[in-house]
Amino acid sequence: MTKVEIIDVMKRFGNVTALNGVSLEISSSELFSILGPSGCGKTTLLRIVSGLESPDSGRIFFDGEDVTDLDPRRRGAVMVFQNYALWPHMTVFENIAYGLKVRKLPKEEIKERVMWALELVKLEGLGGRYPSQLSGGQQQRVALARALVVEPRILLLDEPLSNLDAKLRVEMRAEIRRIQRELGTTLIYVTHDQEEAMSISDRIAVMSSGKVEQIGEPREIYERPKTIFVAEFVGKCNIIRGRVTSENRLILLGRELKLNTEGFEGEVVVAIRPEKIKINQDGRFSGKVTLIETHTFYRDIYLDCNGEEVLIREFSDFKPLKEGEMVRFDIREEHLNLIRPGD
Amino acid sequence: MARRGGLDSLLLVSYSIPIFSLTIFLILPVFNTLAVAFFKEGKLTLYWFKTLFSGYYFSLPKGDFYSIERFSGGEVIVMRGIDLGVIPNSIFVAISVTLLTTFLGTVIALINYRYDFRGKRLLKVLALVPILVTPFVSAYVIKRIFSEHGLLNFILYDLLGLLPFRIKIDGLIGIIVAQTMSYYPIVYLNVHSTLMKIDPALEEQAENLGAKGLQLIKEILLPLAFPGIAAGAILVFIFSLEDLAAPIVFHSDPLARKTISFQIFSRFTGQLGERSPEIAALSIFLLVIALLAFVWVRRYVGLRSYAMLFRGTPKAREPPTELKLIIYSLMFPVVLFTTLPQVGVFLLALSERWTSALPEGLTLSNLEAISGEIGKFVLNSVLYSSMAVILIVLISLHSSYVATRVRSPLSAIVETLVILPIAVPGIVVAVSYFYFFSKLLPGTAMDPTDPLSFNPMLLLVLSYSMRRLPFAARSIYAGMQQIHSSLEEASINLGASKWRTLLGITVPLVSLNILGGALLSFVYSMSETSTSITLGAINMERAPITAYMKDVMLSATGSVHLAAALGVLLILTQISAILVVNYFTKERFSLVGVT
Ligand SMILES: Nc1ncnc2c1ncn2[C@@H]1O[C@H](COP(=O)(O)OP(=O)(O)OP(=O)(O)O)[C@@H](O)[C@H]1O
Ligand SMILES: [Mg+2]
Repeated sequence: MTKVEIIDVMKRFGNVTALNGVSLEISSSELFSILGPSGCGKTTLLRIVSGLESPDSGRIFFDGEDVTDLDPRRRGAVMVFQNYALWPHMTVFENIAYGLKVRKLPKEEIKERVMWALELVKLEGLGGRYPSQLSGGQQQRVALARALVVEPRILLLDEPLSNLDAKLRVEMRAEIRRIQRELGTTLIYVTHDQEEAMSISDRIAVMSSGKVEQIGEPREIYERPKTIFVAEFVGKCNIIRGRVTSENRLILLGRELKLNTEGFEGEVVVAIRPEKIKINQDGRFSGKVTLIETHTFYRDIYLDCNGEEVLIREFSDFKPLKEGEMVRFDIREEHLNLIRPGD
Repeated sequence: MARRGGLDSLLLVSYSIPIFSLTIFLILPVFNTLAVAFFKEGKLTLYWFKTLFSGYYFSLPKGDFYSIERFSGGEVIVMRGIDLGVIPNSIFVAISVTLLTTFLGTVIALINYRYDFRGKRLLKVLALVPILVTPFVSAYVIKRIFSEHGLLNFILYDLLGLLPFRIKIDGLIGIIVAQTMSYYPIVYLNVHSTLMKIDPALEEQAENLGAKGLQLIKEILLPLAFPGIAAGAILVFIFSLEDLAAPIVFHSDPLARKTISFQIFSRFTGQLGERSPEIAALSIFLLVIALLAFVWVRRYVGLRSYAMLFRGTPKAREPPTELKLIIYSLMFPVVLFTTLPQVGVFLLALSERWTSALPEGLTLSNLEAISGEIGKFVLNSVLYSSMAVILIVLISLHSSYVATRVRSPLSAIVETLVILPIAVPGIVVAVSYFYFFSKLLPGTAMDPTDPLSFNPMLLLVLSYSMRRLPFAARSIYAGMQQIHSSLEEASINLGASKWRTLLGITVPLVSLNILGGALLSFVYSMSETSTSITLGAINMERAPITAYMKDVMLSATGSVHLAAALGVLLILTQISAILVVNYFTKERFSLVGVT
């Protein structure tokens, strides 16, 4: 229920620049993901928001209040660590109760709230166990409960599911979503798994090398990538060279297309999702099939169009095709994303 | 962890406690000794060093390595070593002991690591027996074993007739043998623990590439074990330099008296009231030798590199036949032989007299005496050692905290400070405390120049805590290093203060390391010798256990058997501590056997 503003945050470790001018605005009660490859600075950003690390420059605001220099203990931004960081010498109950004890709540109330938290994460009855007696998924829930029980203004999750197996990951991510909706907590969710980010988030910020590449809703990030990095990091994408010859004229794969080219001129890169390309007898483009990969629910067809590789992904209506065959295909102009070559 | 607004109160305290205590209780006293040694009537001078350059201290080789002597029972070949003067003698002894122990300790560790054979567990246990410290008594047993009527001659000459003549060791050779027998497990344990941290895959990879046997040991295992070998060797070198027990036991041979530590000791105890600055000059000399060796080794291998590598179970294999032969016909007898001093201590404690090869006359009276008149020395030692442990834990906890949690030049200094006491010989600490406290607190109970009113408690507690600090600090440091910082961050993040986090999260998580460090520093404070028999012996009413042991060993009327009874007590406390530590931590500590 707290709005977070991150303004131009920089952080260096020795000669490594972990964050290079990051600005984000996260609305109250939003589930906001930070998506990016390993080493791009996600954890560092989270630690700066929580106060475990301080930025070299830049400011952090919670609900308009500058918290950059505020004692981490007073911020109310609670983190769930990637390795859970459960204290092995304390029971589940004691782990969860810790934050409340620190806040000097009366015993009765602590007990009540721990029970509430255990119920919230569906671990009723396991309060007496030690972390080592729990499965990975259960440990994850304890870590979550330990953070939630203190009613944080902002919940920070650092790759919370990366230590779980695939099935449990899907289950837990729905669980996290449910709890976040139920409590209305502002949640910043760090992950390097694009599918996870897509399925869980209200909005996503894609990061690379300490910089934010793009911010937007999942569909927007997917369908309208603004940089080559985003296009390629989030799902499969065709990256094809094109040229803007005059206003609203684009040459692509040897054809001239009419579409809005505002802000572009000369050489451009065009990002096209493979499932947006349709094989079509009357299509404007043609290419030779070089490879067909059949997957469970779809097939990928690689084409050679005069030296440019084009990938088409089909989910149904599989027509018989052979490698070496020439096919015609078409793309609707609205599915073309123009990107300046350097971006 | 973030540091907001510079130092917080926890960091301030954690830096201050180790820095101030080591500065005030170690560095300042040593610098004061330096001043004492270099000044005469307010002027800088080398005057006090002049004796050092007499023929007594440095000389051309004198005497024969061995000589044939007549005694009541016939002729005996006596080995004592060649006299080069006090300073070269000490260096010769220390280097010999270092080489011998390094060889023996490394070989045993390597064989235990690589091979499986019948009796291996027994060998491992036997090789640990000599780390049970019984100051004076074990050296005395060794001396007796190697005397003209001793066990060795009894078996090899009288019984088996294997030797054409009797042999006896004395003087420097006696010291070398006694120290080698007691110190080789230090190398063994250090090498062993280093080997256990080696990823077995490294060795398997080498084997996989075709390396085997000696080549594999030489090219893979030895280099990987080198940090452990070096750490063990430097400890032995310094222990040998500072050892007083062996020179005191062999002191009836004038050559055994010509070692630096003994010279400092005998001059110190031979004077009353103010001591001559010559003692300070001699101490500085000893300190410089130890420090140089220490710094030299640390430049090559950090004694502080405890990084836990992958821990796997090494694949031990059947030794080749030749090696088996060596193991059973050489290694077992040698290792078994090195346990004799400890066995002897028990026999002595339970007997009335020792006139022939073995002690005789079973009695419990020696052990009973502990609860009687000599009980007060035990109580003194327990009191001083317990107080030292509190200080040690306090300093180690804070030093380990900054050393593992903060990256800064100051934390590196703290890390170095807490292991520095290893490089300061005990007798140097004793001498330095003497000059320092008599200057700092003259006329008080802490002033050692007045034997009547002097109470050694404070000085001994401080010296024990300084001298045993590195061992506990190392144990706690290792524990803290293994705690993932996120465990502490999670606590801070939930609103706990750093103090609360330290006490509620960090300390409980390293409690076993604290227990281990505390127990070990307790038992090794109980057996501390250098400061106990000097400062501690100024006022015998308040003397610790080892001061009394030395007294009864040296005085004509004293009883070795009483000292042995106290030795048994020390051994038993050490065994209990080791068992408790091993039980809880399932890990063998590697720095032990300190007097
Ligand atoms: N305490 C530190 N000291 C030095 N360098 C650091 C430190 N913390 C992070 N870095 C460096 O900063 C960069 C960003 O690290 P960060 O942990 O934020 O990445 P990440 O996106 O969380 O990666 P991952 O997905 O692997 O967790 C990396 O190059 C990392 O090596
Ligand atoms: Mg990370």
